[in-house]
Amino acid sequence: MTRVQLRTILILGLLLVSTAVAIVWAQFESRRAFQAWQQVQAERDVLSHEWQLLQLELATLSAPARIERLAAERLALRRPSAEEIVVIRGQR
Amino acid sequence: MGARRRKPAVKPLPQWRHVFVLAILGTLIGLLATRAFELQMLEHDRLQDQADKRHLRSAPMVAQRGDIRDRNGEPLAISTAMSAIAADPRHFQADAVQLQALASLLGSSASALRQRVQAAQGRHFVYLKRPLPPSVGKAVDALNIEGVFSKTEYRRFYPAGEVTAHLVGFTGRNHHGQEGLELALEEKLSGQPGSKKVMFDGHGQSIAVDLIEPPVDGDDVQLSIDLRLQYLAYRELKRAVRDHHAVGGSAVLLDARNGDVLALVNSPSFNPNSRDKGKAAQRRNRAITDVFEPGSTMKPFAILGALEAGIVGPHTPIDTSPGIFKVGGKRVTDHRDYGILDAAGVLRHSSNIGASKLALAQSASDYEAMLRGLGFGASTGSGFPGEVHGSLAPASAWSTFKRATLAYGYGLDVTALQLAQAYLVLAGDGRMQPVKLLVDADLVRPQRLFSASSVKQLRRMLAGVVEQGTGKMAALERFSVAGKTGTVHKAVRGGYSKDRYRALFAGMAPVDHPRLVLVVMVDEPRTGDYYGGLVAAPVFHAVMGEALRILNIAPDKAGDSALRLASHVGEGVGQ
Repeated sequence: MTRVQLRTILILGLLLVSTAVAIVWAQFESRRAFQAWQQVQAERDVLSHEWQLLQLELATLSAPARIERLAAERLALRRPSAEEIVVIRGQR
Repeated sequence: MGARRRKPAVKPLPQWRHVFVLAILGTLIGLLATRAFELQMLEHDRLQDQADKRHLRSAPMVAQRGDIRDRNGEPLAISTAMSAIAADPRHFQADAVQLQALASLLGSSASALRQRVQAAQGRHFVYLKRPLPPSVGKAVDALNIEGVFSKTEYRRFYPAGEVTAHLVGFTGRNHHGQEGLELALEEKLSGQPGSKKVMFDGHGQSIAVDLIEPPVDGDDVQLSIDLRLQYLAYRELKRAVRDHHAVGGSAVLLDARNGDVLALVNSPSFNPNSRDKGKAAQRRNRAITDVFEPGSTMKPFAILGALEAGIVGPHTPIDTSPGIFKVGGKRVTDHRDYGILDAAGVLRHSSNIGASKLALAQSASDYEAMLRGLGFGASTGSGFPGEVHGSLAPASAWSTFKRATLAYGYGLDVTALQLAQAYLVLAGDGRMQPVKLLVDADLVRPQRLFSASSVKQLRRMLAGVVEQGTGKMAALERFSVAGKTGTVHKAVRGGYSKDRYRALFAGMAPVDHPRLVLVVMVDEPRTGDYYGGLVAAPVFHAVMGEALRILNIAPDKAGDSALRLASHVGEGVGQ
């Protein structure tokens, strides 16, 4: 075995070991990233749940039927009669 | 150094010992190699499989279902993430403290939970409680109980409830669309679930390790519906159905400019948020899936065809005496003898004889072409599940009497949506425009069916129906209205019922530049009044008047406010 051959084998061996380590490292990193992503997703789920509940609450509170009732009962509002509506036309 | 080498201190080792040691080492290496070969090559698949079964599994990742919103972005259907708490009975192991904590989170008792898990012994999976807020799911995971875990699930909410129930529909098991637009738009809304690799440790606790396929969330969908108008139409229709003890009713409100469906309501309705969705009669979207004979609301088309063919002008006399007209051995009758009428008079008095005579003056094939052009007997293309086409027999199968009855709306079946679409042509100066339920539906080029001048003439006549004819109750103070009443005997087995009716009103406003088209149908009013002009027209009045105001459309009829405006201007802004 010549010196050159020996060196080649040694270098290849080192490369082999380092790629093996790199694969393990990459997989580890990928899992860690995935875990972090899952964590963020879970947070997003909680936040989006809250957002959806807020939307539902808003929709419930602003339901036409409720607004109508409150306007009439609490604020004593009513629809303007035809005579009370004044049309103001903008300039063309 | 050389001297020492010549007299060795120890005897050289015998040859056999080398051989012996090498043999033992060789055998051991050989054994290892064989075992390795056995495991790696011969039993590899089985072992890998076993290992994966214990420790690696792919788990689904839920995709979020898209929202359904109205044209202004108001939510009509929203999915919200909820947690489901489940247990794996094979791994379930909890001490009393943990179990108590779990029970209090789930609002249950420790013994009940234990029982539930025990009852599912031998299975891999049992739900403990669902649905729960996601925060509870997180809290349960934090307890770290062996064999207990939380799972994300989605639940659908319908904020507008019964007002949009028929149109939006609802989802069924597994969050898939079951009825209505939820079903029709399933593909767009549902998205694609993903999957992830999950590793289990010896205690049945899972950790997600790898992403296999990310989930793709569903798209949001925006309907052409305006929730304010939808609510208004629903309220008024419901009131009419209740006040008249009617079996049901439908109303369809269209934007006259582009065919957008602004409101589509039915009564009775149901609550899509409740687990009990009511009876089939409540769930049916009558406006799209029920057909009826349109009756007198078809008369404008008989007259329009005659105007287009040059058979009548606005002042051509039409003799309707003596109130009975014999056609093909059968009789067409009016309420009374109206004598000589012009075309506008035929509409105003809703004369069956006048409409029949005008229809019979047109060729059957032209008449059929007109009705088909208006969309009768064919789907509107709304894409709504269960939409019916109605029926319209081909002209070759029409008897003379049938041609006469078609003029006043018997002998064909239509849906409320089809009728509204046909009136859209009258509002659109003779251009046919398919109705649209989605904001981003493909634009279809309107197709001209009638000349604008004939349609404008007809609208003037229809305005007369509301001003002085059968449709007075549809009139609005500040807007001109064109429309037609209809009172139809319901078809029963072997003919027509004598005392069961449908009350109809179809119309538009304002007359010269229509912005809205509205069709109201009340099925079997049972409190005495049954005429379209008495039952359906008031609903039209209430919905149309308020809708025009909500949409901020300028009144075209001058009240005294024209004068008052002048005086306001004179007084200055400060007043």
